[in-house]
Amino acid sequence: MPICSYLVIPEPGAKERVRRRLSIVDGCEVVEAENRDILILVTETEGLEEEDALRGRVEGMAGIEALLFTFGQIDPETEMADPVRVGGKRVGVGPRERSSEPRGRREGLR
Amino acid sequence: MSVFDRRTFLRRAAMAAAAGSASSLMPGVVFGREIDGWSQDPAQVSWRKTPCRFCGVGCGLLVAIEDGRAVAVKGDPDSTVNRGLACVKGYHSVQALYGRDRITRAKVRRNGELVDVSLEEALDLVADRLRATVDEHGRDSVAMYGSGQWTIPDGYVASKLFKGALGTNNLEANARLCMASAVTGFMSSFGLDEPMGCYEDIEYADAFVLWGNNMAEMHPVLFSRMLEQRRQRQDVQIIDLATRTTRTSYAADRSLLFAPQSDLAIANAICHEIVRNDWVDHDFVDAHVSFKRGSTEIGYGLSDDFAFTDEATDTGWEAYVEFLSDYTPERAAEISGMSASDIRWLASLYGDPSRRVMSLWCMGVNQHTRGTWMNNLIYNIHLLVGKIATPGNSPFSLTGQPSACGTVREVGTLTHALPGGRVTDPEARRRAAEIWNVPLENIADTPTHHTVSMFRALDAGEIRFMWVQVTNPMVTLPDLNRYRAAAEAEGRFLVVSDVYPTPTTEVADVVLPAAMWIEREGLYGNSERRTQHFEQLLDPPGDAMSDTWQLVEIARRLGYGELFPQQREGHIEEIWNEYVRFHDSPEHRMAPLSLLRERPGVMWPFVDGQETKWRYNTRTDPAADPEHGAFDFYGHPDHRAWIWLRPYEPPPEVPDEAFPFWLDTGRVLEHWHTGSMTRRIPLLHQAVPAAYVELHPRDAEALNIRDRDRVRLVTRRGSMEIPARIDYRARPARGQVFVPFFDEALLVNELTLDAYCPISAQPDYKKCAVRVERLGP
Amino acid sequence: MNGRSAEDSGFSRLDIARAVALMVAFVLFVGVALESRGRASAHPEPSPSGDGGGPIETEAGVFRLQAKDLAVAPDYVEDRGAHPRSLAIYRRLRAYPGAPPRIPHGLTDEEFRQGSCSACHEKGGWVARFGTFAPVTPHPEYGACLQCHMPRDELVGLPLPEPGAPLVCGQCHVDPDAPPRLFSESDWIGAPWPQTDIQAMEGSPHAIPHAIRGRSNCLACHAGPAAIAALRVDHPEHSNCRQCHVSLADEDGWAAGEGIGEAWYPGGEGS
Repeated sequence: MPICSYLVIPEPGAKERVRRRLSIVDGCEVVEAENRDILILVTETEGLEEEDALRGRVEGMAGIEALLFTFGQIDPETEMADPVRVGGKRVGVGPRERSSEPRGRREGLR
Repeated sequence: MSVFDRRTFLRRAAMAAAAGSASSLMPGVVFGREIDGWSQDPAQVSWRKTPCRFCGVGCGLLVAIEDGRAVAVKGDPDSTVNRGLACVKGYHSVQALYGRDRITRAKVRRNGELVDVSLEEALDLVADRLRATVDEHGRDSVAMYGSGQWTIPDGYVASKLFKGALGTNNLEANARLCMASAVTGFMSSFGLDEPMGCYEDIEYADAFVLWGNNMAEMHPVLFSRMLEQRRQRQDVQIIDLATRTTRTSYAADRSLLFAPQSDLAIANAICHEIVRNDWVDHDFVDAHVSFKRGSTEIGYGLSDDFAFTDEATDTGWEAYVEFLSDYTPERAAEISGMSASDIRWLASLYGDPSRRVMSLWCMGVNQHTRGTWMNNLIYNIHLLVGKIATPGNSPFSLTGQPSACGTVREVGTLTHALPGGRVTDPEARRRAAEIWNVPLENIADTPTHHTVSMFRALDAGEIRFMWVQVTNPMVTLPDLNRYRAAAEAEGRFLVVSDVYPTPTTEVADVVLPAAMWIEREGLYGNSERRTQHFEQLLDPPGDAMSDTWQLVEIARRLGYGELFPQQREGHIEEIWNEYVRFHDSPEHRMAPLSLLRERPGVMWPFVDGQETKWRYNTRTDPAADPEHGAFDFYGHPDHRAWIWLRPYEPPPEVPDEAFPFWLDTGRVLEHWHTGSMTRRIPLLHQAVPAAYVELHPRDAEALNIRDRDRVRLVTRRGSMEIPARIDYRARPARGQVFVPFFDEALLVNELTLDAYCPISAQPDYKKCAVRVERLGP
Repeated sequence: MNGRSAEDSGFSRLDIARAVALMVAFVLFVGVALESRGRASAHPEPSPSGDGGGPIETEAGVFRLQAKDLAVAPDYVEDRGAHPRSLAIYRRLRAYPGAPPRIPHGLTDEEFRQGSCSACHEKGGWVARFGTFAPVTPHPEYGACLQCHMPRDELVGLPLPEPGAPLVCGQCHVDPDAPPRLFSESDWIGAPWPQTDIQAMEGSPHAIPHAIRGRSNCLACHAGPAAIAALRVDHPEHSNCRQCHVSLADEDGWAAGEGIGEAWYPGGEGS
């Protein structure tokens, strides 16, 4: 069950319109920045294919200038039945390579 | 937010990652309330408590865990030990988890080479060889050698397997090399092990007398606590008694040098002066002290068949005063090189009724062929003036390892010991048989080998199987060449559990990969009777497994499954709950695990929800009976502390024409023992990358040796080439040299003498005779 | 489920601390008061020092160093050609944010033995020998500097340069291009560095992104000629810093990372 997050950069003046459109799409949660023209989109879908379809749909949406991938938990091997793993290891962010790139500039899906 | 599921967690993590990216893209961006908690901290670091992995001070640390890795450390402000401060080893401790050459697979020696095998295969082989050796050569042909870095459950399971199930007392720990004399000192003076006071004494004491203890390097956090007291209070004094001028000497108010071994004479001379000036607290002595005479001219344990048992005979005040008449300050000055007036001044410090005095010591006193005596003599001083077991009046024996007290002393992982008792005591054996659910006759009633003797038995072929956990004897044993040959001899089988390759894994037949510190759940016990719990915070790498569980796996393969029925999940708690049954009395009750999980350490005896800070004091110790007055030294049947008449006796090997210098060995601040962990911490390795020999500048000049010149050190047992350092971080007294032992490439223990204190069997690493030859620049 | 309960409490602790940042001081204060009460009842003996609780560590040093103590015009630094200290060097000297920095400069044997650091680092000032201003320690109360800070071995025992002699890099610094000296390779990666420019709005006072303990005197690091330019405040005369700047990190962590954090490279030395 993939959970991903994106930064959505709207075209000038389109922030409110984009927020409203995204918030009615199934599997999407939107949080807008209070003081900048940027939004966070968190998606939750049933599988990779559905995630891809959803992303395609968002990308095609009018008023969006850029979509930056920031987080994805899509590796089935990191799925666990137990909500929190015993032994204090933090769950959630699966095994990922560290990169020296700042998080915001990391390659997205685009 | 006490419970939230994985899905919520992932959504929050996703949100936080996006928020973090946004803020680096657009600094100052603010999102709605709902994600504020996360956007501030997209790194999602969680801080978790643990005691430090290194020394016996037992600082509380907070380790930052991110993505299943430790990424930062700070001192735990809630820990009463260190109150938020750590030392450089503690601050960088987690880096020791990430050396690239961690042992992550089991290894078995085939055709002379160690090759990787599955953990199952290695454990099967260990169990087979253990069983076969017992069948062929008897139960005393197998041995286990652990350490004060064992967690409490490790040591407890080892004791139960070897003493309860296999039925041999061949169980020892490297703490024998480190604090055995402290134990025999406590036992002979008080009848019970471990200090009566606690670290809080530092905040009450007016004077600190350090007996051969370079605290600035070896116990830096406690030393900082002392410095803080001196900064805040005008009249606080630190006095450094030593054979070497160290960083501690520079920080001290007085630094007094004495000749090796002469501390025995100085301590007696201090008592002589206290009696002569009548600074004795007679009320205290009359009510709470007995006088004992022990054997003298007791030897040094140098021959393989050496055996010694001390015998106490009753004596009295007059005999003691008569005994002290040999130790005038002038005579002690002659032996020690310290001036008689300095000795008188020290006596006046202890004797001043308005000053609270804390004595502290560690290896200088313990690694001593008369280590037990020296411990007794310091207690004698405090008992004479009644400065004991009250806040700030505290003879305090420090330990070197994180759980020397918790595991080796309290669990009793030594040949003569059982949890909370001795093998020679029928009641202790009966209780162990009952709690362990083994036949009473399984538990052997006589001690077998102490550490040096155990390795001598390995050499002689009496011991044919040895399992070493959490220690590195092929660096730390004295007269190392002999014992390395023993381990490599034909027909010996050596199993080593460790986290990195060491000179000990090099000679092993099987190497088991061990989980380290916070890669497993465990408990340590520090110098002040404080038990500290840590959760498993990280996954161990590869096949690495905790020492506790390795022992359980072997026990089950040997058919002792019913004695170790624990599920892997929660086994530490089950083992702890079984273990504390051994200590269920007001003298030693332990805190429940639930409380230990919560707090950064709890001191025992823990009675009615209260820690006991000062034992034997009837106002503070619930086990002390007020019927005996203000104090009750309940460890002895007469409810008194014992003053021992312990003379000065010379060391076994003294410098002569062929070997004109004293050789002293020890540690440095930056490295933990044999350096197998700290040398893998870049900062620490770069600070002290290799061992060296320290010389006094005048001695160096006489031998034409300059700083960083190469020299050769030669003793009757071995020789080594090593760089010289002159006035680098410390300066030995004239006629002495010092070499740290952390460097596996420069093994100073190939030179040291395996003489030991006959009462404690702890070797003296501080004194032997050496020749210094200049090789060149 | 041991891991779980502690994990949960870890989160709640973090959250509570964030949500009630202002209460932290209060909680600390109460904590100290409780501790001193506990002490008083535990011993019949008189208290060893003051109220027995000791100073509040996050507060005690707040006003220790004032702007007047550091009064050097900012351009004086450049005028004197002082050796620059950059944020990059600052970070390279630390294994992770909050780690005690290593000593980047040479020491004579005597300085090393005696740990006479406070001569320069307690108040700061121009150090001719290194051609720069000495950074000021935020915790002068800790006297045993070498307990936590240490130089590389190569830098110990260097002679003092002749007065007036030109500065030679190798006299104080390890060659930054020299390969790192390691016993074995390390896979260590430190925690990310905190973001340094957190503001609620344009023009708002910056938030404090790091823990305060041991660093309660802000001016030690954020003012004066030795301060790193990127971290220097332009109004050191307002010495009650936390009147306007709040701690986002509190004592439980640090604030937003600006990235994953650079891997700590042990060979890199500020030069």
